[in-house]
Amino acid sequence: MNILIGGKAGAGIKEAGKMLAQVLASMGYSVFGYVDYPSLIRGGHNFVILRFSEKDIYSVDRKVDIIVATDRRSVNLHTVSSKENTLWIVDEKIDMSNALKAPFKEVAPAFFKSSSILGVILKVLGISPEKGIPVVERLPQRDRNFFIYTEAYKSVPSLFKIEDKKIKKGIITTGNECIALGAVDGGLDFYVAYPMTPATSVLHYLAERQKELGIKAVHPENEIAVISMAVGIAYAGKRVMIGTSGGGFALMTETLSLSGMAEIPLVIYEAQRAGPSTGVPTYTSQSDLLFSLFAGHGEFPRVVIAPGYPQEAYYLARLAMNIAWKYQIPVILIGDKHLGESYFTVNLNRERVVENPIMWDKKEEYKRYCFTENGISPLAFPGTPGAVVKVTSYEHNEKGLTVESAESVLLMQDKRLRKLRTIKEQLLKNEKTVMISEYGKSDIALITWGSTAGVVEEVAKEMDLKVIRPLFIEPFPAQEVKRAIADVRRIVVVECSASGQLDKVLSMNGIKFHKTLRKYDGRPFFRDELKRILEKL
Amino acid sequence: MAHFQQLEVQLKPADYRSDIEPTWCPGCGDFSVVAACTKAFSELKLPPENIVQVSGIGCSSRAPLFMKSYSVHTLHGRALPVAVGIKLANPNLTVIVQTGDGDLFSIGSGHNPHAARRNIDLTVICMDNQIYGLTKNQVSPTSREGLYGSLTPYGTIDKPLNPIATMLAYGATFVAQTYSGNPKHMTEVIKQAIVHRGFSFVNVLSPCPTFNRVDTFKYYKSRTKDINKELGHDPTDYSKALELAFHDLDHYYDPNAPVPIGIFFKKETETYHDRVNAVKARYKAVDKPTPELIQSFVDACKPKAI
Ligand SMILES: Cc1ncc(C[n+]2csc(CCOP(=O)(O)OP(=O)(O)O)c2C)c(N)n1
Ligand code: SF4
Ligand SMILES: [Mg+2]
Repeated sequence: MNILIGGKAGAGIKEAGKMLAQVLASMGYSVFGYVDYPSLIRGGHNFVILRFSEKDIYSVDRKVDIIVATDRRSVNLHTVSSKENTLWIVDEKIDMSNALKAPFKEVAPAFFKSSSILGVILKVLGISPEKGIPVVERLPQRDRNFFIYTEAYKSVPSLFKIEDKKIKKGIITTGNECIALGAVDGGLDFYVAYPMTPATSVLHYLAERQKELGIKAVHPENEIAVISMAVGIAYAGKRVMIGTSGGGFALMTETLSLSGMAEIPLVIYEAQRAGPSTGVPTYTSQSDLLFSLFAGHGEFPRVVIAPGYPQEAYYLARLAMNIAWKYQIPVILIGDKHLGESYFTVNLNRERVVENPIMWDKKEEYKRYCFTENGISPLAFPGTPGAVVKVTSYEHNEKGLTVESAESVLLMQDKRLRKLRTIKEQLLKNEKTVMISEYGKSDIALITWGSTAGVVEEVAKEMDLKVIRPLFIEPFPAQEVKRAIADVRRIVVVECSASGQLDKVLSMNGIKFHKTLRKYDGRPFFRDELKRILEKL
Repeated sequence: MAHFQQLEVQLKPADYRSDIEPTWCPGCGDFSVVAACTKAFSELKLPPENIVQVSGIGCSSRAPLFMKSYSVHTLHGRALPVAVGIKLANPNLTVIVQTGDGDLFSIGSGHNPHAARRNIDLTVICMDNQIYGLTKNQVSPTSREGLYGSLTPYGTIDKPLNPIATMLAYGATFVAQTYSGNPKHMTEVIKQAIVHRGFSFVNVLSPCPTFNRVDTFKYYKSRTKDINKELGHDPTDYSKALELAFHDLDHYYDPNAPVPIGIFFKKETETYHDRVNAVKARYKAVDKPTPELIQSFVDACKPKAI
């Protein structure tokens, strides 16, 4: 079942959606919530679509079963989402025939209608009022909200019978929260970021929990300072992650290449939004894939990882932390608004996994960039007696001293190339770098990446299509992808990009495809929409 | 007891020199900076492994290479934020930024107010030759009006920026100017800057004989005046410091005006880390989470029925 809740920005629409999602998750349903809001604080229109089911779900439909319109504008805007038998629940002041009228009371004028929205929906769904109490109790102005909630509950009839499934599937969380927790469990000491949607909630989440997690969240003057401070922090031996969106990442690129040259371990979370430039800040896109692969001047090893679900985001953020330190490289974790800010039902099994990097054994004279077979040189941090660690953005010798001669330039370039080879070999061998569906008997396969996974995999399962999804973009699991598509007749690439960026990555790796499905209006693919398109193929 | 780590047995200045020969032109002012720094390190008994010198890009930014200490040769303009990161990660280190006028006041200028106002315990040494040396003679933000550079064949028409007044306004708690032709003065100022708890800024008038033919050793020799010894300036007086700073560049326009050197301002006040520690104490924060603490947080995140 899909429920859409619409209303003014600032009226508590997002909050109502989250509360309803939490209640449904507490009753054992899998809930997915798509959150649509403008880059404004007041005055715009917000809406949330929640879909819930007994099966695990990760997408919403464009056409919904219930539309809750808390203001007149919602009626006009969401008529497109209405189908023949859609139930409309509208504010009592709105004149609309065949609609259920409800009093969407606000805690302050035009503010926080969330408790009344929740009361109305729970009653309509036939859910007992006690189920909503825990979430209402968490609101500020508890008594007033409680009163509004109870009144709203009484005001409408019960039309459905949504049962309590008793066994919970998980709690409501977002990709961003899971990335934050994954980094923490990978040994994070510092999170450094300058606020930029849709990465900001990682900064807020970690800053609020600095005390419990024993980490430090730092907000410097701009993104250049963010990545520069991170270089300093990592050089001094502490684990650091930084987070931003495309615009901030653009500012960081010069220093990204410094981290490649100086072999400084960094994890960069790039939460994509609809660009170019400021673009559509609070909407989603997958248009920084090639940028994340190629950002930075010169050639240096990097790893680019693309989680599709919060569970993966958690696990891959933790892995990213360990990969960055094992190989002393920048690791880019590429997500987007859809993964970062949508509501997912997740049962996370947290575990702290912190692998220590290779350290100087103090036997011989310390050389920061000492030549090794695998290209990885042991680390020493400032404050270590007997070692002097010189690192530099210039090309350098084993001791970290600037060099320019042809032979010495070649030697260090080759060392980094050896490291690149080690990374490729080890990661492609030891890690799960691509997801290949178990279902899919038909001879059509879909290739997708990142947050588009949720909807593609749901629809593919229904239609029995095969899905191939790389989790690692660099190093790219070309062999495995090729093997997976060997006996497939038709290959369709699905992504949220105007020019087709995954297409190019596939072509670069010698993988052929037949058709591309691209969405680039800032919105993710909706389930019914994707299904309709695929059925026509 | 000093607030920084000290050796029991003093090392000689030469012990702080690396085995790399400086790649500067003969007569470059920056040689004296390395000499003064190694002398200051020796006199302050700093353990070499505890010193981290961070530089940007420029002739001046090569200074750390010629000294025995940890160092990060970063990007043009980015020494300061990298240094802040190092200090955040390990407050026990003595962190020194070695930079140039172009590095600090052109491309990197956006970082200055923020490092200064936070009063992070760092020492910034700016080798101010009023020119871009490394890229061969372009005017810098501190170049005097009319200076000829490779891009300004008719002399620059821009007004110079005032390093001392700027840093005072940004809230640096130690602001001084010294001169490459006066090694004794420079060593003393650098020592005090390192000892100072908080953000220290030292502008070193450090001539570039290769490109800047106006602001030379000869020019400075007869003009420098010690504001503390000769003019009796009291560095705790902020308004007087500002007033003096506003006249810092008078000599560009008035042949009789002196070039002031000395400590303009010095105030011991709580540093960034003092405030971090105060907040930590107030909120009873932990440095390293115990396994129990992590577990309790893990448990709190688990859905209750599972
Ligand atoms: C992003 C970037 N832009 C330009 C340069 C080229 N560059 C290197 S040093 C420098 C100016 C250095 O001037 P200053 O800091 O005064 O140092 P000096 O050589 O005078 O000691 C420039 C423009 C660079 N390295 N990086
Ligand atoms: S060009 Fe100027 S600043 Fe650079 S080394 Fe030569 S004298 Fe020194
Ligand atoms: Mg200069």
